[in-house]
Amino acid sequence: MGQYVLEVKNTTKDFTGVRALDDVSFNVKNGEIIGLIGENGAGKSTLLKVINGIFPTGTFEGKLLIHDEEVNFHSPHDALRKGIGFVSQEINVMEDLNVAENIFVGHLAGDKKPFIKQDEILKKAAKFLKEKKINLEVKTRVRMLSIGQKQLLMIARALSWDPHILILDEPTSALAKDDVDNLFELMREFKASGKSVVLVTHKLEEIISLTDRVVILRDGVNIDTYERKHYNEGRIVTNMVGRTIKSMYPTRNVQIGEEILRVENLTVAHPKIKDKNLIENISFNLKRSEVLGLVGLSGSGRTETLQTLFGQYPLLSGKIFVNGKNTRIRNEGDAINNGLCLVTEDRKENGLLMLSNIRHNIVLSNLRKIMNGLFINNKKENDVANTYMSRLNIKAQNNNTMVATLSGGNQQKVVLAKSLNTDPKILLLDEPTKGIDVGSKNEIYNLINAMTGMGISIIMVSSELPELLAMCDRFIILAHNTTVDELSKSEATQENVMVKCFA
Amino acid sequence: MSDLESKKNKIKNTGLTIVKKIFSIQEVSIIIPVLALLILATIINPMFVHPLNLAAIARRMSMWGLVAIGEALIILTGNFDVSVGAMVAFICVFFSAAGAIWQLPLIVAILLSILLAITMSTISGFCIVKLKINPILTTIAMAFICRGLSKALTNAHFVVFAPAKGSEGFLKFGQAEPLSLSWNFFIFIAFIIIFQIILKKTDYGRKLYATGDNSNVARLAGINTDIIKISTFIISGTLIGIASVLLVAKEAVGSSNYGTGWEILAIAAVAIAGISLVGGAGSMIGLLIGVIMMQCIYNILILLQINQHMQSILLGVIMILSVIIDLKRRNRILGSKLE
Repeated sequence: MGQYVLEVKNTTKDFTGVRALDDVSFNVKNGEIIGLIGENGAGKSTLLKVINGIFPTGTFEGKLLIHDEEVNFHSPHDALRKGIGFVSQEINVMEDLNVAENIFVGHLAGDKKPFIKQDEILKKAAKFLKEKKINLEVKTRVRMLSIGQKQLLMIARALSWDPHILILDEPTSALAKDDVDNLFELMREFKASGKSVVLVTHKLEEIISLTDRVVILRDGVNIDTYERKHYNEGRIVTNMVGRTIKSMYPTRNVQIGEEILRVENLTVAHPKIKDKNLIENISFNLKRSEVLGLVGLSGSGRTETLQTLFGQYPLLSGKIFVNGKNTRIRNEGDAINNGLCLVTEDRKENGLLMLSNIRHNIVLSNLRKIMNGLFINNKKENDVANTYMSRLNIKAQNNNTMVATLSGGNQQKVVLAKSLNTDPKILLLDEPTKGIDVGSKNEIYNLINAMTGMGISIIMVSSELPELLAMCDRFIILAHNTTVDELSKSEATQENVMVKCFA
Repeated sequence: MSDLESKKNKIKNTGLTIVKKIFSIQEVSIIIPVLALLILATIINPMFVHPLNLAAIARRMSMWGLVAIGEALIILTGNFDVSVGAMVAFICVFFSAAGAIWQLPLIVAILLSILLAITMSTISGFCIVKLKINPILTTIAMAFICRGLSKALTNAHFVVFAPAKGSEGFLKFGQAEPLSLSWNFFIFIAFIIIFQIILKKTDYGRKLYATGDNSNVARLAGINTDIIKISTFIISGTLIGIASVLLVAKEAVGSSNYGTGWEILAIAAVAIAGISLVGGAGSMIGLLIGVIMMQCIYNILILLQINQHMQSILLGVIMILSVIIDLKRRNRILGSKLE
């Protein structure tokens, strides 16, 4: 057996028009923890999906070797059987099964036995969790677990297959301090038993304290690999970012005005879980031309707060004041009529009509604007669409281009155009730069500044803390589905914010 | 010289783009197989293109075609209704009974029947949209209820309409053959045109497409998608009511066996029409072509003296094929960006 448990050789993966991986090679030795870092969009997720069989063999160029033997994965299950345990960043559990069933799903009955024995599974799971020092109760219905516990559960599930390699994609982003320590311990033990861990993370301190080697990806290219003894924080960061990003976040010089929105003690019942609240006692205010950041871990209630403001959940209690007036927002139509507009995180699920062209997407949010009596006026429609296309610099042949053929950045601009077309006073942005390239991000930041210049106020949610810190005037900290603190721009540093989020 | 050449090229290019444009229109891709089918049918049996046969096709299709319009709108917004055939039977029986047995004035009987159809259809819509019950389950249940009601009202038989007040003129209207066609045919075409304009030219049409394409997006754009979805059931109910009244006018009886298989005919026509079976795409002109095609296939099978059981099998095969074509088309539009 050679020294490598996994070798990825000269892998190239193209999406329509975008090269996500360009001739990337990546090796994992037996018994090491290897870090994989890079900016969003650097190709980390794509590389993991290649290793994990989500992109089946044949959809990319290059070779995969496990223990010096070439393998062809047709599905994630193939990868699992070959000893690759993958824990995705997104929570991916069966909410209505218990912990034990979730751990052993896929091999519940054991090998080649036809029936499932419930008590055996519970016993096996309890023993397994004790062995791995994972603190979960086997009979608990998974719906009742916190995000962090679900993350641990997913790790336990991957371990239950007894893998050679454990791939963890940002495993600590939702974990509390104790759980993080436990997880690190678990990774070290795993390594001590001669197996390997691939750790994908944005946190440099995790790389420094845990890994034996670190591989840096940038724009789909393998930039560099460092051995532990050559670790140098500054150089890793420079390599990762690859260019000066001083101008990444454009400065804004806008006079912030009077209060335009105030929410008091917003509480919303969880639509699926009894006696649980989606958000609790959320209070904050927003001023004209201000960019307000809602900061919190995923699952802290940030997205839900935006959705509630947009009328997607009925209030259990609390009040919303728009321009000082107590306002009831029962549905999305009410929200739009009151000058609010929501840009959602997921373009495909919630952002665009994928079967339609740019024009139809942009005008949809405000059909009244283009009506001429009973009928749609083609000229008005074209005018509206073309105005926004040029104002937002949407790159396409014309407004007839199908949105499905656009790049992520241009799609996001169509989503923004659609929102601006409602003539909003308050724009709710949920992860406005998720999954788009650096250039488009910069354009979106410029657009945010331009909008505040027009008197629009913005509430922004983002998982990228640097972006949030740079773009917002003020910060509301959310934790455990409620507002816990407020920070001014000068108070908000990366450390400061993270400490409050975990409080 | 070069001027002339560039002009020639320009003409050639515009010619090409026109051809390209024609072929990129969705309806064209449906017309071609229809034409092929018609030619094939004529070769097999020259009787097919006899004006009387073509007129018969036109008359027959306009009945269930009306119902297919409603079905198309329901499918456009991402729902389904498999109860339309049974509902036609129930409304026909109810209408006949209202006129002939309960002796209600004709206009009252007509309005009551249409109102009843709207009510039944809206109940389905409400269960699907508000109570979030699976559309197929809901409408299968509704189909059983309607079929059962029609059998109960008639003892699994039929009601003769003739004793109804004012039935003479009414039946005359139903059985008239203007231009060898029928008034039904013109009513059907009128509705096709009206709904084509509604779909393509009004905000309501845009809202229908948006709701069917992605109801999350539509809702975020401030569209009340629940109301849009239920409205398609209301329209469908109205059309079912009108079709039922017209059917009784033509046949002079209300039978509990009416409408059998109409839902499948309608759905198949919708699928052939290129109205995506998961919502969001298609047009009424496409539907018209789909309806013509289904009726032609039926007619050809009869001319070929293929028995009913075989017809039913072929209908099933056609449906599956059209669904596959629909999925392929959808995937092509969405491209490889779907991960």
